[in-house]
Amino acid sequence: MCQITKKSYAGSLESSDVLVQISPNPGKGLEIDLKSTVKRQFGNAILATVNDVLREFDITEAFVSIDDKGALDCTIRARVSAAVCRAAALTDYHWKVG
Amino acid sequence: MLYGEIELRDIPLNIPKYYQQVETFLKPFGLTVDRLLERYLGAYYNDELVGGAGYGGDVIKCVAIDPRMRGEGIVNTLISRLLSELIAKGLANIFLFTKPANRVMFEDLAFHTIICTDDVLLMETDAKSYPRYLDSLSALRTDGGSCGAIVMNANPFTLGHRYLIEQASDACDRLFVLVVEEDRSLFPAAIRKKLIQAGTADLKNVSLIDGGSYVISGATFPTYFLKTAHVATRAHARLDAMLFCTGIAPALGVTDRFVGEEPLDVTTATYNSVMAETLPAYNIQFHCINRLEKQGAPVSASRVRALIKQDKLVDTAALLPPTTYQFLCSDEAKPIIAKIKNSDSRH
Amino acid sequence: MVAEKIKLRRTMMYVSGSSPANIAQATIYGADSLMFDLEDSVSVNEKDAARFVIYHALKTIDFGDTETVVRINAINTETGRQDLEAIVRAKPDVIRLPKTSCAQDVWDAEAMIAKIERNIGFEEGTIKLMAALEDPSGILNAREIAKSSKRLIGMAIGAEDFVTSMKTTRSPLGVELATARGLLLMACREVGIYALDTVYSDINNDEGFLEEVKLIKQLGFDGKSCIHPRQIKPIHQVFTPTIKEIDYAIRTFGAIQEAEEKHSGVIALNGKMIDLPMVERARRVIRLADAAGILDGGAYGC
Repeated sequence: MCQITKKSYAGSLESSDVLVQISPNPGKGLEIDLKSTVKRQFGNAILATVNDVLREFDITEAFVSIDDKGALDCTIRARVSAAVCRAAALTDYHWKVG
Repeated sequence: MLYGEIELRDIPLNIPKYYQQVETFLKPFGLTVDRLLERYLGAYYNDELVGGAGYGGDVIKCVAIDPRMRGEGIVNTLISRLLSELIAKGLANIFLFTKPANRVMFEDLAFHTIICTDDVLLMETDAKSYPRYLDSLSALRTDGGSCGAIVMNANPFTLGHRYLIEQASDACDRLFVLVVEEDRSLFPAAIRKKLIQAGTADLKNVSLIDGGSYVISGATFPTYFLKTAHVATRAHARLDAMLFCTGIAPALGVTDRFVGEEPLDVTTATYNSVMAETLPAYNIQFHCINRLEKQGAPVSASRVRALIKQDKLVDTAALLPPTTYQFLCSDEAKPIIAKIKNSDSRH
Repeated sequence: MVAEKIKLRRTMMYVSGSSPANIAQATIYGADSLMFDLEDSVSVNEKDAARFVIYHALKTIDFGDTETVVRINAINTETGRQDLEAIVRAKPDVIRLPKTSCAQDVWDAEAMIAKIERNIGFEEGTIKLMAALEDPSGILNAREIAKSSKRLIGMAIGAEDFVTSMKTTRSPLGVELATARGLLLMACREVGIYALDTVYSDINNDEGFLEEVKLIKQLGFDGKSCIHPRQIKPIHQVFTPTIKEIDYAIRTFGAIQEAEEKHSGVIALNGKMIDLPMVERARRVIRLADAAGILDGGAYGC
């Protein structure tokens, strides 16, 4: 299991990007707070992507705040991954093919 | 911005020409540059400064955009860049100091409102930071009886501070001393707190609390840490007072607030008068305690620092509790004393 | 047939790894190649995040026929080595090595890439390389660099760093780059790889930009790096052959076809022998004309 040890961020607030903040959430499991310019249409899809990345890193306890400015799915994936690596002080990510 | 024609440039505020350029740019927005602004980032369009934002410590401020350039995403770009820099410095929570009119814009930019007065708006990126701080205060609360509060920098802790705490401690069932945590004073926060602790250990109803970011900090009261009074001092003092009245005092169950009388320092005097105006509306009693005098003059931390500066450490013994004096004579104090001798800071 | 053999690299557009907006829209401007940047356009604090952005973009977005190039950080840094680990797996067409000074730089990168390719089951040589020469040693070693690796598809000159190390600045006529451009071009032509010119950074100076594009085309470059989408169209226009050139190329192929049908060993046009360089030139003209959309498709071996 991957532990969120400190608060961290990744991304930006520019158009087509997303700002992801992750912080420890002792004893409270996973909490995701989503703000998005396209929340009505894509809110569920964004949450699914975020959850998918958190599962990949095996994170079960964190407070994740997402400020989305219409980012592509791959950008959300990238930003959440970067934020997790920073917040869990991971340096050797397992890059995959395909 | 998509291959925009807006160019971001660092503006070196240590060069007078650029300092003035920023000052002139901010003036129409009712914003002023202060010495606590460490960094300023400008957005240029055709070589003309059309937007900017900067920070000092963990506080983003002086955000301004030429009205002709609104809606281009310039603020998003500026704020994103500054956030990235501050995050890289390892800051967990980042504050924003701005005008109330910008509230909606910044709520859309990942900031959460801490407090909004008529003149200023204070926000932070961590939605849970302020609520958590208040929760930690609530845990200390004991219901029933009177509860006093003092906010203290104690740079360093003198018999004057001791006198103020004694008076308040006598008048209340319980007393909280909130220690200013911002490390902008000659005595580091940890030492200031340690000396207050040591000097009040015998007073059983007194508890010390870290002021954190929400009691006289670079975020709530930036101009407090300037050498001289500033045009914005009153607005900042009001923000700090409102935060105390609406958040901190109710969380702790404070019924009485004590301050030391301030005949000399304009900033502290302003702060006291704003407190006196603000507290009653929130049913908190305001008490201004006279200064303790020794050798015909009020005892103050600045008087102690002045004596140290003049190499008269022995003379400070009359103004300090033994605990503080012993510390000043110890090896641990040597670097601080050296710093005081080289400094002309108000703090 | 002919068209497939010649890959056009008229325009290679920079797309910063710190700008997801630019990445999302990169394909709509019609650049021949997209160069995703992890190096100079990404600040030190954002290298890790940009690497994730480009990695996921390459794995997800369909870039169609557009060539994908990733400029990584120098491989003698930890950042550059991490870039390679991520980017090779995301499988771009080409990895561009910045600040290449000698053949050893390419060999080092090649060894690392080959090792990763073996680990992940890619055929060795899948990822191509491009070298940017940005200092005097790079230019003086252009010949050995050009010959250093089968993976190397081209070399580019990076003028901003180069002029600085030459104690000068860039000027409209580009005299300061004359020797460097010439040496790089000859080195490329000797081994038959692509030669790409440097960026023109004043995006508001349309006239100066056009002059420079004409100059580098005349010198013999295959294309130019761009830093803004508005630079793409003018480059493509300059690289579009004239009606006269196209007509000549068409007639060259006509003559070849005719000779084949007649089983004639000698191919001639207007009484002049058609030799190999002429065929090469004709192919290139047809390919460029096709890319510019001014051929009525299909015919002439395209």
